[in-house]
Amino acid sequence: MLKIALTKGRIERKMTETLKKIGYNIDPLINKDRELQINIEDKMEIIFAKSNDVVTFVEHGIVDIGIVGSDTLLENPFKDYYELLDLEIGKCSFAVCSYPNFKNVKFNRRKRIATKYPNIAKKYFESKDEDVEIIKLEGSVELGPVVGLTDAIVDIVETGATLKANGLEVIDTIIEVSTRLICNKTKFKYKKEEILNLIDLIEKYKITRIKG
Amino acid sequence: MELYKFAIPEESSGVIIDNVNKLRKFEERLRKIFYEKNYLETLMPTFEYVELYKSVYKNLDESTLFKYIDKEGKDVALRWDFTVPLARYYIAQKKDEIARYCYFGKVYRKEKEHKGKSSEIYQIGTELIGKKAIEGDVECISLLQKSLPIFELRDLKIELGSARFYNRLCQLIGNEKKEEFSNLLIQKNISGLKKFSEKYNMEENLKHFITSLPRLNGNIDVLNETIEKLGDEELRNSLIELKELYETMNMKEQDLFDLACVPNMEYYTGIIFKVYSKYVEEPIISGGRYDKLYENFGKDVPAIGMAYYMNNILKAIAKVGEENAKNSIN
Repeated sequence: MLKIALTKGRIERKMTETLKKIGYNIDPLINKDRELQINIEDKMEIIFAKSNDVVTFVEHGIVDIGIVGSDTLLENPFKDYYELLDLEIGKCSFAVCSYPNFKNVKFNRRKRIATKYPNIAKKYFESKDEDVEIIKLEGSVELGPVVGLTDAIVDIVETGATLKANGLEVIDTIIEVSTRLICNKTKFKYKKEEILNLIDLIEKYKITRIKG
Repeated sequence: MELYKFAIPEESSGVIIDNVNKLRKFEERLRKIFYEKNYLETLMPTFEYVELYKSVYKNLDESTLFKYIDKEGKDVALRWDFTVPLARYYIAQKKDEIARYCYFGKVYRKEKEHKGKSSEIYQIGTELIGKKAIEGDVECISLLQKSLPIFELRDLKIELGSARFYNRLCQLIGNEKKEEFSNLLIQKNISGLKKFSEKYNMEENLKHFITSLPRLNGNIDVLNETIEKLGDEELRNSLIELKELYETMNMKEQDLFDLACVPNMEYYTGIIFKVYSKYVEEPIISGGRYDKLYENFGKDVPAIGMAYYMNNILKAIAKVGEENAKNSIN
């Protein structure tokens, strides 16, 4: 039995689709109500969690495998896992976003940046030889520039619809993001066959998807 | 206001009444084994200059050090490991003979907040200095094998890797790509290694081999199959070295080889080993050969050492206890 922590929401939906395509009976996933744990064909025990919690569960060996976005992995301080596979789902990108005239404005002070990802934001501006003030927001980060708290944001951009609706646009793309399959190192030593089996199935499906 | 009377700082490891007697029992048994083999017990200082660690660990993450500025204005850290102070001690003795040291004590490494991990790590370890591979490796591994039964943990796996194999891989790929390659290899990143080999247009055989490395983590069969397939002599020989060690040491069917093993310390040169228990998420013991460490102190001395992470061992034992209790109720 493989234990898997799955990031709730968008990644959960995309992964459910993948599991279906590689031949698992996913009815329990579709029919789930408020359960936090679901079993699939006695082969998988899946728990649903917020992205950073997925990493914590992998870190402590509570689950063997975590399905989580590379955005979370970049921001999270824990690095001691195997990142076995890029699932190539849930694709989006990290970007600096602001009003269109952001580039033309000369700032005589530190720029203020709103983000949920302070580490990534800090690293990015450092790489541009810039020092900025970072303000961590938990919810709709776009509010930063909209209400005038910050000059720009660093956030995940998928379709850009929210940006557009608020008059903002992508100023610079930082890095592409996609969903990854990560694995606890010790668990890999004890459940290698099972884990590689799942990986083979996904890889095979990825190839047919590209060809199709 | 009398706050913080009962709370202890997050960095502290909890009070371990239940485990103290177990810890002392293991300590005593390990000490007996080490003494029998002429390992001299040492008691290293608690405070060290930050410079000492920085000179050896070029990529040291300084945020893991507990440090302060002393009265001379120098950065001082709580002991971060035993291996480096012991290397300094050996060199300061100005002797050329073989030395065997063991130690029992805590190292202090800052962990991230609220991650359920303690920053005081109880380590027991040995250093065998001045004895080359394979002779030294055999002595170290046999000491390890002798000590394992005292923990009464089932399902332990010893895993062997080779820094020599890794170094040759980096050479074949091109040392300028070493960092990028190592970051992918250490994560067993199958997709990443594939993209990496495509990006640099590597020839088909090498591409295939690099991408297969994450899967080459298994028992002796994995090693044998790989040895048969390999064309490069140095890669082959480094694996044959592991195989010979496996045979000499009468290692077990469940023991592992990790061909994607990346030395986590820059000074590793030969075999690298770890011991896993299925009850804890981290290795319970790790060690390896580090013939380059002593260069930092101006001398060429071969050495091999290992450390037992007692926190993890006690955790595994507690888990086994819980499991047994559960089973006896059912």
